[in-house]
Amino acid sequence: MRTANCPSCGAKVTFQSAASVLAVCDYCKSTLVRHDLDLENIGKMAELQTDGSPLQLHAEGDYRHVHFAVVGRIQLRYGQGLWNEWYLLFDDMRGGWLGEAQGTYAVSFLTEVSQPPPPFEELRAGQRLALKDQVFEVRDLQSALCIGGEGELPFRVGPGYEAPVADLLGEENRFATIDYSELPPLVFLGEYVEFDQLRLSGLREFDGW
Amino acid sequence: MDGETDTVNTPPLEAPAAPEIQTFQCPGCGAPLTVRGMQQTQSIACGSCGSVVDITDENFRIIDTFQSKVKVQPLIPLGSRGKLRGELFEVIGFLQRTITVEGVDYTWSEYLLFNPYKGFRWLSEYNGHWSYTKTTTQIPNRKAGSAAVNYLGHTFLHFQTADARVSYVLGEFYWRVQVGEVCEVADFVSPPLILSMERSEAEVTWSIAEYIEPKILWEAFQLKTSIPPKVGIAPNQPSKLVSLSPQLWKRWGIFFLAILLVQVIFLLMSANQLVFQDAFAFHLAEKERARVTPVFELTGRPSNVVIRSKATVDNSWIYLSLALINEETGNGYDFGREISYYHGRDGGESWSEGSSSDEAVLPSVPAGRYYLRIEPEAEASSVNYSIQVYRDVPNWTFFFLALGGLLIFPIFYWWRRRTFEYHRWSESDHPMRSLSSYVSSSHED
Repeated sequence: MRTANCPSCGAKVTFQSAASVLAVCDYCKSTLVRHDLDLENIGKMAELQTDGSPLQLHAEGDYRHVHFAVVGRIQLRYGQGLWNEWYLLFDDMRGGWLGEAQGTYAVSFLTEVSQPPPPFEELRAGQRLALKDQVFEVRDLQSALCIGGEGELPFRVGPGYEAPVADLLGEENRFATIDYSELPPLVFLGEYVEFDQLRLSGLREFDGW
Repeated sequence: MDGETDTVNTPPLEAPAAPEIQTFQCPGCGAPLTVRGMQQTQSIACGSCGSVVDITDENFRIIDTFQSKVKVQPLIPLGSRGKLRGELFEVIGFLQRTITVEGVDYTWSEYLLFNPYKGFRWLSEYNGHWSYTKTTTQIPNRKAGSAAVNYLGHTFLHFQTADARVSYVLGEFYWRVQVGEVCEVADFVSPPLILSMERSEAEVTWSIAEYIEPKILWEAFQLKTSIPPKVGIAPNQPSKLVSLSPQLWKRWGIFFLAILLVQVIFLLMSANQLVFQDAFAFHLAEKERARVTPVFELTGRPSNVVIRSKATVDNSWIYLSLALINEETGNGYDFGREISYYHGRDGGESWSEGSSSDEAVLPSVPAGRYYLRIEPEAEASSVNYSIQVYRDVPNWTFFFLALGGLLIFPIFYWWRRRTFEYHRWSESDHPMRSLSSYVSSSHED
């Protein structure tokens, strides 16, 4: 864990994960990029939209018997509505993602694939694709718009950043997301999980629930 | 992207830190509207004026107004909370959907349930039958070349495909609902489960539902109203017979094994002993034709005696008056047997009637010393005949009677199930042609 002071307001900024390259100052919302020794302020992060997400920074949980903490978040807009990708730091120092929208939860990890997936333009809904010896079916192809972020994140994000994204479903509860905003595209493999399976704590509280 | 959002690069100002239950005035009629689904709700239908309001829009734009002649009262009121399968949910929306088949409208109701942590579930109701529904995170596998679908190890048979339109809305929804919006709905059943595919222009979603007894819902939501009676048989209604069957079949198997065991014991205990045999000749010319056999011994517990006789009858008959007599007491069992055998050809076809052998059974004869008295009668001038006496011969009558009695149950059971399935499928795209046709045969299209 490394701490530094926000170059804008002086508040303490913590990088819990060695993989994090960006942090949003809790206090003044400055977007800070980590260089070797100092932090570069690349401007204020856009306000996130209020959503009904029960998760928040510093929430904790378990996935496959490994404890994790929620250290960051990207809020995205898809065609239908809002979607959050929460950045997880596991006790074994892995970084992972908890996708969450409307009571659906999915855990995924950035995965190296030996063969890069086909270009976005060549994908069609219903197409079958093998990733890491698993068969997936392309469910939809859309463009995700980043609304903003908070906490610490393993890459630079900013509002208005738009990424073509392919969502794929595999056997049982497995799924894959291919993010075409980088070259080669980023492949995330994971699975859908039930709320209770994650044994979450430190959640947002809702009146009456 | 949906067309409504034009603020692509400048995210809208953050809404004021919203209280969890928000109330505002309907822009159509001023009636107070409550938002229970928090920020998940996109549209809300006013129960007073029928306006559907887009609440993600700052100005609460009315996206639809529908006029309904009748106001539909949801059986479970909006705002009701109940625990289903251990999870607390609140009813936040209600809609009805209608399909039209051969000019007849069929309408069912759907209740949208919400929990801020667990998301959404649905309860659907048709003719008093209820199902509890959840969207799937997987796409079920369509079986190649058939109308069945595989999901979670179950095979679901295609029930019906129809265009369903939203015909009534009340309360909140997580999309911009509109009366009249149509999607194709295909149902696949594996009672008590039903898989439904909904295809609209934008997307395909699958959901899985389980049949749920209304009593459970009335208790969960603490409803004081009376439960509407069930009408007909629902596509995913489990047959009570089906759910009982493993136990019943087990019991049936135990009975079957029991009678089999009893029969085996009988077979093992039977002596099946030949106690006397001899051959005789009948001559019409003889004056004294009656005979008495030597004395033979019948031993053991009281059991049967089988008398097998054979005669050289050929288009003739012989009648034997028999008596099995106890030497000591003089008590006897009198009985008569006719042995006749006729055969011939009639119009090119051969026929035969009767047999040259016969078997008579005397049940429960006590042990003792016995002899047989035989008085033969015949028309033929001479007939040779032989007699064998067996003691304690195994008997299959009990076994077959018991088995027959035992078979009545599965036949009745099969018939009840068949009738149930016939009624289930009668409203589907694949009605059974007759009560006796097999279900799966109507699914090969």
